[in-house]
Amino acid sequence: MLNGFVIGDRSLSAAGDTHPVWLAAHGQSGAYLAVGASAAGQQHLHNSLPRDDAFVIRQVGPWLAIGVSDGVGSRPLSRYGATYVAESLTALLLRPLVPQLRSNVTATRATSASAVPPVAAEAVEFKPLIGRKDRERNGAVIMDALRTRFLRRKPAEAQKSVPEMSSDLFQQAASIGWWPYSGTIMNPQLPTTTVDHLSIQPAIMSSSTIAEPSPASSLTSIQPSTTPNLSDVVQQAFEKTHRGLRGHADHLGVELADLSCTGLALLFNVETGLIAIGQIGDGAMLGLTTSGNVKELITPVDTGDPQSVYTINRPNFDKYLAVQIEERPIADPFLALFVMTDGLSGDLLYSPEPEVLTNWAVAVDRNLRGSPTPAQAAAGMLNWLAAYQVKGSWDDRTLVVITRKDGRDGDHNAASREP
Amino acid sequence: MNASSNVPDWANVQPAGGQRRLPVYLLLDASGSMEGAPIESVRQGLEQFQKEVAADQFARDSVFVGIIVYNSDARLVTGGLAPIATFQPPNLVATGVTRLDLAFQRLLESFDRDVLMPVKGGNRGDWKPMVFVLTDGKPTDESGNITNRLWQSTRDALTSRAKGQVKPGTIVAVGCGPDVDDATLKAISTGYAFKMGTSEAAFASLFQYLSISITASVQPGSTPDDPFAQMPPSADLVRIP
Repeated sequence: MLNGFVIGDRSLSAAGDTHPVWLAAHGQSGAYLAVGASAAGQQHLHNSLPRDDAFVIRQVGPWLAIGVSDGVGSRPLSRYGATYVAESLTALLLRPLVPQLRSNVTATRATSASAVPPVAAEAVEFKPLIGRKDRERNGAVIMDALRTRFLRRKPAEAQKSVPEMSSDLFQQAASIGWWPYSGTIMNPQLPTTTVDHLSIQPAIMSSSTIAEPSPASSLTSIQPSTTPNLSDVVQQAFEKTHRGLRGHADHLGVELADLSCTGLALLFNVETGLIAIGQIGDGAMLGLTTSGNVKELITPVDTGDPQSVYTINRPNFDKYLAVQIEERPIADPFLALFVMTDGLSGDLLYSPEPEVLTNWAVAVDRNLRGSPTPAQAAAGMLNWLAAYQVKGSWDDRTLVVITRKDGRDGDHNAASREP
Repeated sequence: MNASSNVPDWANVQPAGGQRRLPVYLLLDASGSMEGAPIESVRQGLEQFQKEVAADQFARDSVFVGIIVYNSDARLVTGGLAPIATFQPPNLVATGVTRLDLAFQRLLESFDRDVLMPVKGGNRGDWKPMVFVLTDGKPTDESGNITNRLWQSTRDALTSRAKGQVKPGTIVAVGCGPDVDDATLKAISTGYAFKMGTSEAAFASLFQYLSISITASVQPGSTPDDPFAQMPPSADLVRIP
């Protein structure tokens, strides 16, 4: 069985609303670090409304799949659509690339001398920085508003014990997993290999959900197979997600329109650099090249009305689905890929100053690679998303970044560029 | 990075910005029949509207106002779209007939001149404009004869524009006084239409409703195409069925 990880938002069900206000996640695949963060918009927080954005990052073998979705603000349950779409797109992008369960399954167990995770769980620290008054004035504004709202719901006596100014108003829950790194594809006829703990990479998702414990993993070899047509893979992932969304609405007992949301999907091979992309609705997907340029990876289909957004739940959605395959020249690969909802892309793509977007991409990429740990990279990015101020920018913001950590010594143009 | 540590400095990461505005147009009937208390109530209502919308921290940054006063002529008295925070209600004089068609023409001109479409590498683009039409009677021609012939074609030109052109998000008509015609008000509107009396309290209610609907429309969870969708019913402002 081919191993991989999945991190990010969980699909919401009728078992209760577990969608967190803030979410950050990180994982590694080969030489690449994948970091995702999603923050409820300041207007949402002010009105005690939930976050409507969602993201999922899924990895198996050399493939990384990113799913991002933005629920329509006028639909109170759209997050149920966004979380479903993000998860469904990533799963369906990878399904054609993974051997079927009934074939190539070898029940072997790790034979390492160690029976505990390589890093003690308590040594992994994740403290979101939102709310520290001495660090972020805007974070303090958010926390003041939340505290005020929280106090209104408390009886007079209980208000005395509410903390003055801290992030204790929120509960943090996290699931932390370690997956064996399955970077090698082997002949299925050979005996399976033992797990090498030196190559185990941690992937962390912090959220308000309780995760299932990871089963004891086993590396299963697969035979290299012909990669399917990725354009078809993307098209079918969106088509099946659209159909599945209908079933999800029926299951929840709501109208399909109640789950209105956009869909952005990116499939990336960390070994070959091949990228397959699909998008319906707004948001953006960008690539930062070694030459220091930022390229928009896909242009959404023109609906004829730039002030309206098409969503994946609508009939004839495929008329407005954009699909793109990208193969960079070896001499100028992408150093980083960015997938984001329009709460962020709207603040990036509409400036007449051409350098601003490139400076932003270089700065984010540098900060992620320069963080002491991947967990701190995720926390830093989340904190920034939640707190930066642009006039009129109050929407949810979601960003997923895949950045190449290794082999960047020679990439001076982008890496050394100062904003 | 901070010089004193290896922790990245995210505070230096700056997005480009680019504000998205919500254009709100008020088309105000200043014909002769509005003379006296009604036109004064409209002026006071505009002051109230400006204060209340500018007081909302989210609406203050987003809402830009265009006021078109119409009678025998029509003028965009704000010159273009004015930020709600600095918008000054104009002096209003009631005289002449009711050329609603000219008001719609000024509106169309402003759409093309003042409302921004999104341009990547350029500007963010505005939300679809909200349009509110206040009238105390039936639209006329230049001689004061009641007619739908003139205004209907200009109103329809607004709502059936070609791809890539600015269209209104919503047009809401409010009729004040005994001379309004329900059918005309509904024909002007793209959704619901309303009617009310001409008392000072009625105008105050109207502008309060406008304020609430506009501040609600910049919130997540709003229904921009029906700004009054979640408004509680009012005795002063009656929705026409």
